[in-house]
Amino acid sequence: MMPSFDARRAGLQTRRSFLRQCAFAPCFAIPLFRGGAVGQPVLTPGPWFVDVAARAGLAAFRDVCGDPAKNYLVETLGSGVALFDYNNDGLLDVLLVNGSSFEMLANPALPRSSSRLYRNNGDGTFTDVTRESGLMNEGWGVGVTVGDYDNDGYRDVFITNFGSNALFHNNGNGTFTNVTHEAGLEGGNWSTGCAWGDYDRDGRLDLYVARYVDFEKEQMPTPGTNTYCTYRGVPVACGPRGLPGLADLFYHNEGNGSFREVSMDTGVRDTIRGYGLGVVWLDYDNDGWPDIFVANDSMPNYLWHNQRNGTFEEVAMEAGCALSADGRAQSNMGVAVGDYDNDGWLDLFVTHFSEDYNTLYHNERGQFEDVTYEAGLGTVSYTQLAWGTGFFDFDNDGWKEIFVANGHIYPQADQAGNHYWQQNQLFRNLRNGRFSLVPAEESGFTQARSSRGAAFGDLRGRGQMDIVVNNIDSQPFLYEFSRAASGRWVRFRLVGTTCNRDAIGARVLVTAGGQTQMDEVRSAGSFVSSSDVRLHFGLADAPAVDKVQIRWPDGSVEEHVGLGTNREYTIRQGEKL
Amino acid sequence: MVALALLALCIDSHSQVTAIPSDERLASAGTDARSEQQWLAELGPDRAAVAAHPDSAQAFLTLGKALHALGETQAASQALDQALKLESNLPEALIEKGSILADEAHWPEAADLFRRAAEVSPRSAVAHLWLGDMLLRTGNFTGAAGEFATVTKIDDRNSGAWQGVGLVRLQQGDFSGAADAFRNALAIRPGYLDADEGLAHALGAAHQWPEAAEILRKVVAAQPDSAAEAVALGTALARLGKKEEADQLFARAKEFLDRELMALRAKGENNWGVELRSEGKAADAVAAFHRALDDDPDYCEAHDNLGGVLWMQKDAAAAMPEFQAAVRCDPNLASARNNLGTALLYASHDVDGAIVQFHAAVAVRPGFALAHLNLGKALAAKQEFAGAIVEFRSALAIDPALAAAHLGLGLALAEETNTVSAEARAEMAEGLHLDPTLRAIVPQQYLTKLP
Repeated sequence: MMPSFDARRAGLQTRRSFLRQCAFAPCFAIPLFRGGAVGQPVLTPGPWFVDVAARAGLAAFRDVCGDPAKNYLVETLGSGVALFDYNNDGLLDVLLVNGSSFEMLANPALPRSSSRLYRNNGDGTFTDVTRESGLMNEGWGVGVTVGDYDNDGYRDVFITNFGSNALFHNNGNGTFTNVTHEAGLEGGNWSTGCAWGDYDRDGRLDLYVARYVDFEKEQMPTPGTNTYCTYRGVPVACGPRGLPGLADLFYHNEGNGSFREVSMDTGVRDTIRGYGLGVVWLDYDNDGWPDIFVANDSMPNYLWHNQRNGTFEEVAMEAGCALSADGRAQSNMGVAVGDYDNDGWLDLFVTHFSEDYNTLYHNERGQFEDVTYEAGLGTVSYTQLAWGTGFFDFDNDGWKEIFVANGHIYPQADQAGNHYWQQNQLFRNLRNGRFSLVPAEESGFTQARSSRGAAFGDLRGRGQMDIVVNNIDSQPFLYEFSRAASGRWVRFRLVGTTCNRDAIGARVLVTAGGQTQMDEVRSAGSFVSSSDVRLHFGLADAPAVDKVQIRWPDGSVEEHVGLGTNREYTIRQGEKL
Repeated sequence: MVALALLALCIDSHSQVTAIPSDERLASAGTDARSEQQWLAELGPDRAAVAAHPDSAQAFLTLGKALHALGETQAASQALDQALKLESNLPEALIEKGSILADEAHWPEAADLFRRAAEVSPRSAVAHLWLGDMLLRTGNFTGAAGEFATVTKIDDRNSGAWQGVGLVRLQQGDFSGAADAFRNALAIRPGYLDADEGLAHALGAAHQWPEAAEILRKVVAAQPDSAAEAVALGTALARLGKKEEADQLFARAKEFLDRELMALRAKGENNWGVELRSEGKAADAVAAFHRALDDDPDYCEAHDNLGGVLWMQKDAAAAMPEFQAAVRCDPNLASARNNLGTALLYASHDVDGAIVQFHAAVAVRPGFALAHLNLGKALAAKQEFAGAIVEFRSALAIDPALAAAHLGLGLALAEETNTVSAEARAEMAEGLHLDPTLRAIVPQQYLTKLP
């Protein structure tokens, strides 16, 4: 019996052209299947990811963010996600940050919206433990970063808000205590991206907090009243252009549960009050000291270079990552860090507004170059408005792909020839410096929403990376890796002893199968989100890991050799495996 | 009656694309290059033609084009809509209306009109060029490439089309193809700065830094205040190892960018002031304009707007220096010239000084109806009725609903000839019909002759 097939799906010709050919040649005498003999159908595998948010128990969550009409900028920004193990049971839990509304802020009698903590049950489902955990952020939540700031072995949570920020101390018994005031981390007005890191190598996590617009509702122009309040001629929420900005905040961990704002002392002087969004720590120049990249909306990015003496210098322009290749300030939202070409230098991918491209900055020995066009990423996301993002090796082939969460900020985009709900995107690393868009049917990202924060981690403990995406005014996506087989892998959970306990800032080099990969432990990134701190490396078909080199945040270096694959290693600083 | 100028609004949008500038689209298509003065001179006859032939799509098209050229986009749009109502596939009207929509960032709607024009007139390079531009802006790169290619087939000397081809290829990562297209554009139109920028970008992307730097030096010389060009040149020089020069350019670019950001915020405050002013919150508006000037002391429009609100608050003494500051910082700011003239005329009774300002306003912006009206009034005050009549007529050609101009024209005609002609009577009557409150300023000898 002849196998049935869909010529169009198989990438052959259409029926019409097929029939036309048949008039001149014996069609059934030629092989019809790409890469296969007649009679041996090629099975089409399912999508790489499947959204299982409902099955997993996350569907009850809605990121409430103001009025659906989004007449004010603060209603458009959405919120982040954190994937972390809050109860040290070895399973990644999910924290979804929630927004709020002007009505809730004005009327304390109204029911509160709150961030939601979901405990991983270990069977693909989650249980909402928000109330019993006490991790209830009832402000207008935006960003999140997770880090063990007091080195007690339990990971703490910092959430930025439109309003006072919130630090939740992990009590080690499944509960959290809000210690914002004692810590001195209230901030104020509108904070966005945030990330922990140890800039002075004192073994304690410091904190960078980006801030956005000095927002007062009563001082906001209404949609359509001027050209900062239109999109493609359609009236929309105003800003951030033309609105006053806010200086970012930089806190030093004093070691006694309190923090000191040190932006002026350290040279992190955001004197022009940029519209800060995404924040990430990285050692971009391989000098062993953590630097800080800040994605600024509608203005040049910051790259705070660590001077190794407790101070920083802003060098984004000189380093080539402040602007696009043609010198334009882009609407920078989220940021991914990763060594996508395995050359030993961390690259940047920054997401942007629609009618622009997301920028891939290749790191050439500490000097970035916008290589978006030559990487094949120039046209594929031009109409999308992009937020959460990350480099991650979803197929464990040893090369990092790019995920991008999309969604317009204006519901009115639908009237302006664009779309408020947009599909998320997956870009496959072609291993030659180029990427190609994985079709939605293949990636599994077929549902459109207005996505914002995104975080990455292996939620099922199967050696494959999953993605959680926070969607504005909608339930989240939990993209679970759904294919049975991929390459081998190895994962590292680092525990600092003389450096910060989470080993945030540690760098790991993995050599396997003749290839060396590199990554760093980060507390946050993407768009206002915090991914799993464990470092995951795809190994393709390498049978073993030849060597692992760890450079701890305090500068000490260790090597381990002869490791196995398809397993996770916990490495304590200074101890043998 | 004192006429205050329109409060200035800033121009910006989220659009980031470096598309083909509108002057290039028009110039490359050989579109009409009449001066604004010429358009103004033809406006009266154009209106007469519309009145005489209300079923003529061509007449409405001609009027629409003239109004568009004079910056009266709303009136132009209405005239063009009428032209298209009468003849739905009139290519010129489709293109003219499309260009208005394009300038207002209504790209998909504009694309529809250009597509229709291209279907009706497949050999219209300008329709295809505009359509390509709209498709490029909306992210349809394949479609844009097709339209630009069509233009080059119709007219291979169209520099705008080659520029478009270059932009598409650049975004698609075809750097050598992009460079070829930009070189074609430059061969057709030497000194085409956008093509130089594109070429330098394509060369830089291909790591051909020496040639990129050479071109960018030219571009920076032509645009010394552009942060983007300074950064692009700095980047090229840094790649060539000229770190010191590169650092100087980066430092310069940072200064420009900081200044731009402050100017952007000043515009935001200015916009907020305009909104407050329109809501009748004058005191809050004054505060917003002051904040705008704190952010950017050289913000001419904010001075002008501040003066305008102060004038509305009947604080002429405070308003006058603001208008003067606005004119000092931008002598080509027509609204400030008009406002200063108004203040000189009514607060200082300096008729000659006012005339100088009104003349300057209409010289800068011939389509500025209020300035023509005010100039007419000032000339009439000096008994220079012939000149006043010309100005009132100009004002009415631009805006036929300007009651004070009708009345002024009627009065000037009567004063000049010492008789109330039928035309003078009709103009006065029209003015009073449009605005009955003006009756209070009509001299008694004329009132008796009016219906």
